[in-house]
Amino acid sequence: MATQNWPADVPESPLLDGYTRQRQNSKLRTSVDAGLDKVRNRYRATPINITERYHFTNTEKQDFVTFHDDSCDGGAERFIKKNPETGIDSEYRFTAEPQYEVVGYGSDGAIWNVSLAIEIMPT
Amino acid sequence: MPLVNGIFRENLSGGDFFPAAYAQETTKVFLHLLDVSILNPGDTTYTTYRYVDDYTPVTFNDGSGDIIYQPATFKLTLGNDDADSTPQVTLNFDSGDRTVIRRLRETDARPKVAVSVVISPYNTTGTITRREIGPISLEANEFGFKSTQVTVNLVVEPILGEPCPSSVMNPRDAPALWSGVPI
Repeated sequence: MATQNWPADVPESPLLDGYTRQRQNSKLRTSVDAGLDKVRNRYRATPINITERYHFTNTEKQDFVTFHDDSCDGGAERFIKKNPETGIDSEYRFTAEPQYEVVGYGSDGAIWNVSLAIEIMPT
Repeated sequence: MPLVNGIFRENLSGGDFFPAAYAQETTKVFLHLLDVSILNPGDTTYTTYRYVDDYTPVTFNDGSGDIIYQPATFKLTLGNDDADSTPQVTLNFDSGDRTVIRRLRETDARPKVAVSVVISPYNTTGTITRREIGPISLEANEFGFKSTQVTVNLVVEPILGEPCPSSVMNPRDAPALWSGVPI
C-alpha cells in the first residue's frame, strides 16, 4: 500500500542509542467469577511502535524534511524503509512529528539529531 | 446473552467456535465480517462494501471464490431481547473514507447489512474458509453521520406486523390454534 520510499541520500540505519520497540496491545482479557482471566487476541496482527534516532547532516536533514512534509503529506502517508532489525524492507507510518535538535556544526552546517516515533504496519 | 441465542443459534457452525469461545487462553482470533449492500441510484442492483475489524485485509473463500474484506473500525452492539419486539443491533462504523457515507446519503432504500463471525489463528494472513456465525441479514432502519463515522440502527426483517396467512393458519392445517374455538 505504501508508495513512498525512504530517501536514498538519507541514512537508513538509526543509532543504537534510543532505539525501542513495543508491539501495540492486541490482548483482550475477560474477568470471570472465579479463576484466572480469559485471554485472547483481538486482532490477527497489530502495528509495532518504534522509536529511532538519527544523526543527519544539514543536507540530509533537509532531504528528510522534504520527504516527511511533501512526499508523505506531512507524515500521513505510509512509507517503505529497511527494518534495521531484519534488514528487510517494511511498511512504516509516522505516529508523531519528528523532533530535530542541533547537536553540532560540520562542513555542511548544522549537525542534527532527529528522533522519530513510527510504527511498523502488519502485513 | 439471550439475544445471541435468539439470532444466532441456528447459524452456529460448531467446530472451532465453542472450544475457542470457552478456552481460558486461545490462539484463535474472532473477527467480524461486514457486508454492506447499498442500492445503486436509479437502478435495482446493489453495490456491496466489505469490511473486517482487523488491521489487515481478510480473504474469505467458502468455495465460491475469494472475497476480500478491507480493514475498518467498527463496533457492533446487541440491543435488549424484548419478547414483543424484533432484535435490534447498533453498528458504529468508521469507514476511514467517505465512500459509504456518500452512498448512504444518495440511496432511498434501506441498506442491507450482513454480519458474520469467523475465526483465524493469530499472526497469519491465510484464507478463511468458514463462517462460524452467520451471515445474519439485517436492515438499517435509521442512521446518522459524524465526520467519517456512521451510526446505524439495524433490525432483522420485521415480521411482527405481518398477517397470518389464512391459507396456512386454518383449522385443517393448524388444528391446535383452533381447539375450543366454535366454528
